[in-house]
Amino acid sequence: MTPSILPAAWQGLTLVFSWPNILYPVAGTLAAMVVALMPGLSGAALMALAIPLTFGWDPLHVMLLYGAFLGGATFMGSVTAILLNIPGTAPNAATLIDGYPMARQGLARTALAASATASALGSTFGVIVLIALVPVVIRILPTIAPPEYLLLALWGLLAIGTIVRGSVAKGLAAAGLGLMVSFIGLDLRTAAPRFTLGTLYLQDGFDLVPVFLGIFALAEVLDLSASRRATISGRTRVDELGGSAIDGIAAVFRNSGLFLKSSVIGSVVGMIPGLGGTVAAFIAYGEAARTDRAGTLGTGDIRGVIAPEAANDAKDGGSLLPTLALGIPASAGTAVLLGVMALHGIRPGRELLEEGLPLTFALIWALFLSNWLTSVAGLSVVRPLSRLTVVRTGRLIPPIMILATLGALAFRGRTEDVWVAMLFGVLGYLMKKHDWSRVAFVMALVLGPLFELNLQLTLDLVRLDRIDFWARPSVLALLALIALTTIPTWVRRRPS
Amino acid sequence: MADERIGRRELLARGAAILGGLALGSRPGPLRGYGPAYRGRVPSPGTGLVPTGVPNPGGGPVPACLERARIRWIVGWTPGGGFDTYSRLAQPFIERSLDVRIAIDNVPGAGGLVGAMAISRARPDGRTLGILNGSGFLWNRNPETGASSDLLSDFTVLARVAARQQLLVAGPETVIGTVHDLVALARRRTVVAGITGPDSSNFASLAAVTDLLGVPTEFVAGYPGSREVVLGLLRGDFDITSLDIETFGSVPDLEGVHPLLQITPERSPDPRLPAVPHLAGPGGLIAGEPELFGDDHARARALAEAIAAYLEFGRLFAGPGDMDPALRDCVERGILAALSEPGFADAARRAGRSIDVVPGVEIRRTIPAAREAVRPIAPVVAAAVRGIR
Amino acid sequence: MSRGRRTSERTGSAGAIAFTALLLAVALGFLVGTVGLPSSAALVPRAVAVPLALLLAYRLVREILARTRRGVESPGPEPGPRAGEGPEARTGDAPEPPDGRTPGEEDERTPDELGAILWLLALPAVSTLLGFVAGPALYATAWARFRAGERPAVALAAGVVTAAAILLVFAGLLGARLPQGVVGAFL
Repeated sequence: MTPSILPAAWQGLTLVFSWPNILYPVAGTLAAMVVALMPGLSGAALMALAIPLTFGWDPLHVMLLYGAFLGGATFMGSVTAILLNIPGTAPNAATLIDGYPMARQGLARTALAASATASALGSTFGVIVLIALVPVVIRILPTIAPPEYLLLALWGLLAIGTIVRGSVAKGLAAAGLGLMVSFIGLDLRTAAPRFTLGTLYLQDGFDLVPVFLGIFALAEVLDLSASRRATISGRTRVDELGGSAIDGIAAVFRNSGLFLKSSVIGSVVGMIPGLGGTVAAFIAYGEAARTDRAGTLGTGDIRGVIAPEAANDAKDGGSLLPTLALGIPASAGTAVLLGVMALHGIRPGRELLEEGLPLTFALIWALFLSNWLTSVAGLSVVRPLSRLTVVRTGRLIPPIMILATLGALAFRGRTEDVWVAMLFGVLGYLMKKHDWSRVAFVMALVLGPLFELNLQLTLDLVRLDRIDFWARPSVLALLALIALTTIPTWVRRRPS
Repeated sequence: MADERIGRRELLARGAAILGGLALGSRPGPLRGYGPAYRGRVPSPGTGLVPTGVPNPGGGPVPACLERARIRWIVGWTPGGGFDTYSRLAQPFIERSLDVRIAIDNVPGAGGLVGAMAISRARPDGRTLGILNGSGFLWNRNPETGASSDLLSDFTVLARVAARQQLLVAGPETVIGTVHDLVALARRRTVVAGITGPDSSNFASLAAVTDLLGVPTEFVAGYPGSREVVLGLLRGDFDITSLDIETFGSVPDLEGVHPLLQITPERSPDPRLPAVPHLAGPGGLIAGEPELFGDDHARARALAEAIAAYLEFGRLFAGPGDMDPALRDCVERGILAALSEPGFADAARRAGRSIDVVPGVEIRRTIPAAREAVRPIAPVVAAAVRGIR
Repeated sequence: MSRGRRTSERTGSAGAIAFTALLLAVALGFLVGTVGLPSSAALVPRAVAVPLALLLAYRLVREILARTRRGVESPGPEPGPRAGEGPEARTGDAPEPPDGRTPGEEDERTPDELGAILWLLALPAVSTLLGFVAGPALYATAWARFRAGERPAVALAAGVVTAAAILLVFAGLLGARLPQGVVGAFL
C-alpha cells in the first residue's frame, strides 16, 4: 500500500461534498432513516430495492448512495429500540437493554441524545481507525483463522456472565437454550437437518429478525397490555419527563473512557469478516457491564446505551475493509453492496484500494456523512420523539404490534416469520415474568453458529495437523484477554 | 470411435440448435460470451447441450404475449449473490424485449429451494418467473421433507444463462503444481480439501474429481462461503479446493494459488489458464491420459461425463410448470433475445460473470439424458459426505 | 457486586415452576433430537443439551422446594406481577420501578395476562384470514373499541388510518408483498 492514502482521502472528501454529488448521500440518508424506523426492514432491503434505480449511473454516484444507505440505518434503529423496545436492526437489541428502561423512567430524551452522540462520534472513530490502519489490516485480515474466530465467539459467550443479573444458573440456562435454538437447521458441515421437525422453514433455523421482534418488542407489548401500565414512562405529560438532550450529549463525554473502549471494540470486530454489528454491540455492552461496579447496568444506565451505540457505529468503517479488500461481505448490507459493485463493474481488491482509492474513500465518507446526518437529525427530534413515552399505551400498543408483525413479514415475505415472532413474544414475556435473561438467550443465539462452526473447523484442522493451536500468538493473546476480562467476573459471581 | 460418436452427436446437436433457432424466429449466430465463457462450444458428452447465441440485433418484433405486465421475478437467494446478480443483469434487457416491468423478489431459504417452490407453485400465466440452480435439481433434494422438485414437471425452463465452470486449485503452501503432483502427493499422504458444505456444487465436483483421480481425500467443511474457502486455501488450512472459474477471476490477489484442472468439457479461453488441462471432452485428460484415472476407463469416462452434465445445467431462467406452450415459446423468445444483446454480454463481462446462453427448448430436451448422466456422481458424493459425518 | 442479588421473590410460584418445567421439557426434547444425527452434527448440541437439562432440573427442584418452604412457612397469595409495573425490577433485563416500590411486594395476578396473549395472537390469525391490510385494520378497530374503550368513530378511524398507512408505506413505498389471506385468495 503506497503512502497515497491521505491525498486519496482528501480527494474522496471533495468528491462527496461537491455539487451535485452531495445530493446522493443526503437522499440515501433520508431513505435509510425512514426504512430503519420500520422493524424488520433492514438497510439491505432498501439497498436491494434501489438497485434498478442505479442502472446507467456513474459508479461514483452509486458508491455515494450506497455508502449513505450503510450508514443511515444504524442510529435510527436505536430510536425504536429506546422508545418502544423494538430493535430496528439486530445490533440495536443491545441498546434497548438500558435504553428502554430509561424511557420507562421518563429519560427518553437523555437516552436518545446519548445514542445519537455516541453513534456520530463512534463512526468518526471508526473512520479514523480505518484510514490509519488500512495498510496493516489488509495484511492481517487473511490470517484470521478458525481458532481466532472460535475464541472471539467464546469471549462473547463468556461475557454473558457480566450481563446476567440475578440467578447465575438461570442466566446460564437461558444462554444454553439460546445455543440450542441456534443449532436448529441444516448443519452446515454435514447438511444433516437438526431439530427441523421435517419442515422446510426450519432448515435455515430461526432468523434473528423475527426472534428479536418477538422476544423484545412483542414481549414488552404483552407486558404493557397485561400490566395495564398507563404510559411507557409512567408519566402522562411531557413536562413530567426528565432528562434532556444536553444531558445525553454530556454523558458521552463524561464516559469518554467507556466510549473509546467501545469504539475500539466496534472497529476491531467490524474489520473481522463474519462478526458484524450485533457481535460488536453485545461485546461492547458486556465489557461495559464487566466494569460496572455499582451494578446498575441493565436498569436504565446511560452507559448501557453509549457502549453498544459507539461500537455499532464504529464498526461501519471497519466492516468495509474485508468487503472492499477481499470481497468478503461483513453483513447483509455489504453483501448487497458487493452485488451492486459487480453490476457496475467495480471489483474489490488491490485495484480498488490502489488506483480506485479515491472512489473507495468517497464510499467511506458518504457512510461517515450519513452517520452524522442521522445523528444530527435524531438530536433535533429528540423532544418530539420522546412524546411517544407519554402516549397512552392503549393507543400505542396496536401500532407497535402491527409494526412488529409487518416487520416480521416484510423481512423476507414469509408468514411463518410472523408466527415465529409471536411464539418468541410469548416466550419473551414469560422469560421476563419469571426472571430469565432474554439478553443471555439472544447473545447465545447470535454467537452459537459462529462458535460451533469454528470449533468444528478448529478441531478438524488440529486433527489433520494443519494448525498448531497452542503455537499461534493470536490464540495466546486472545486467551489472555478472555481470562483477564471474564474470569474475575465469574469468580465474583456465585450461583444463587 | 468415441470421437466419431461425439462428432456425429455434435453435428446433430448443432443441427437441432439451428432448427430450434429458426423455429423460435431468430437467426443462429456465433456464441456471445465473454470472460471465462467459451467460444464455439461443443456439446457436453452427457447432455448434448449446445449453447447458441440467438441474436436479435437491433430487435425483431417484440413478443406481445405479456404486454406491460408486471412480472414477479423470484430469486431464491439473498441480494448480492451470483443468482441475484445474473437476474439483475438480465432485468433491463428482458423488460425491453418483452415490454414488461420486472420486480425482483428475493425469497431466500433452504439453499434456493424456497424460491424454487415459490416459482413452481405460482400460476402459470407468465407473471411469475425466476432463476434456478439447475445443477441442484438433477437429483432429488430434501428427502427429509419430502420436497422434491422435478425440472420437467414442476418448472418450465426458459433458458440457461450460465453453466457452472469449476477449477480444481491447490494452495500456495503446497507442493502441488499440477494434477500429476496431486496424484503423487496422494501416494504419500491423505490430501486435505476445504469446502463450504456438502450441499454445494463445488463439493460434488470436488468429491467426484478426487474419486476419479484415486486421491484419498479428507474434507474440511464449514467455511461460510466461497471467499472464506479461498482465504483458507491461502492460509494453508488445506491443500486443494474447487472454485467457480468466475470466483477464481473475481477474488483479488490469488498469488500462489495453482489451478490444476478445469472441471469442464473443454478448455476455457481464459488467458490465465492456458496450460491448465480440462477434464472431459476432446483434448481432455480423460481422453489424453486415461492412465491417471485408474484401470476402469469406462467408469472414469462415465463419471467425468456425469460431472460435466451436472455442471452444464448451471443457472436457469424458469417459470412454473404447465405454462401454455404458446405463452412459453413467446416468453422464451423474449428472454433469448434479451440474453443475446451485446449490452447484456458487456454488462456480464464487467460484472465478472460468464454467460453461456442456451434456449429453454434445448434444456428441456436434455433433462432426461442429464438425469441419467449424473447418476454416477450420487454414490461418490454420498460416500464423501459419510466421511465428513 | 449487587448483580448477584437474590431474586427469590418470585421463586416457587406455580407459574415459575410450570415455566421451568416447560423449559426442561424443551431441553430434553433437544437432547432426544440429537439421537440419530451424524456424530459430528450431534457433538456440540449434545455437549450443550446435557448440562442444560441438568441445570434446568436443578432449577426446577429449587423452585419446587421454594414453593414447599413457602407453603410451610406462610400460606398466602401467589406472588404475581405488580399491577402497572410487571416484574421488571427483579429480572436480569429490567429497571427499578420509577414509583419507588420495593421489590418483594406481592400483588394479585392480573386477570389480563391471558387476555393480552389472546389479543396478541389474534393479530396474525385475523391477518392470515383477511390479509395483511384488512386484517391489521380490523384488528386496530377492534382493539380501539373493545380493549381500549374508545368511541366507535375513533375505533373506525383507527382502522382506516392503519389500512392507509400499511398501503402507503409498506406496499407503496417499500414494495413489500402483503399476502391477501385465505379469504382474499378464495375471492
